[in-house]
Amino acid sequence: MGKNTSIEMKLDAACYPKEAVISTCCQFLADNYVFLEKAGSATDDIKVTLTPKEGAGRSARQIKEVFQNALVSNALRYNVSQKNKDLRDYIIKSALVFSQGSAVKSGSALADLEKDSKKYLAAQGDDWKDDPLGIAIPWEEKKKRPAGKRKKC
Amino acid sequence: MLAINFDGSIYNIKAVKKAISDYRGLADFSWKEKKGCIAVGIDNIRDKELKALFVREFSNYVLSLVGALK
Repeated sequence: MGKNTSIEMKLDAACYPKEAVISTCCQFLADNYVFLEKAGSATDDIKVTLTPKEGAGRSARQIKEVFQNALVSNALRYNVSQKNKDLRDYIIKSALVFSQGSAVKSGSALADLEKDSKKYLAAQGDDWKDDPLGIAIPWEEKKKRPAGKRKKC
Repeated sequence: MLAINFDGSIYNIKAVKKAISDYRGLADFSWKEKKGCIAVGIDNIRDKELKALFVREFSNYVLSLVGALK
């Protein structure tokens, strides 16, 4: 593969969300010419065309490998951010409400926040009460020796 | 005239319009939306030496705006 050869990649929309693909492409704009298009008329898959700029230090193959790594990373970030969206909104909202002072606390903003928090906790279920790794057990209970087996000094 | 077809589901019209506005001193632009695409026509590129790179640089700029304006 030559240094300035274009590389084409078809990315499965089910694995790589559009937002993750665009973020990844934006990271590669300084050293490459990037163009995005649909992989087909009946699909949401995206075709990425990367052409290294003159004087780019990496070969097309190296760029492809780095691009694919960055894409996986950005897809994960996007998925996690989508999953935590409600919690993030709740934290920001609560921070803003409580920074407005006590006058607002008694008003409708606090009532909205309480309503939202109840809704959020109801949606989360009681999973948070589970302790499969035994983290909530006090150290003394966990390390308790049977009677009569006390270590002599 | 050079032409670029930006897919409407990936690129957005706001980014394309902003890029045209920023690049308007370097060439003459025309655009229209058709069948889910944003078709951009480029004519009279002022700097002849940049002609080969112009379309690619413009496409890159549009993509950077899509990332920034989302």
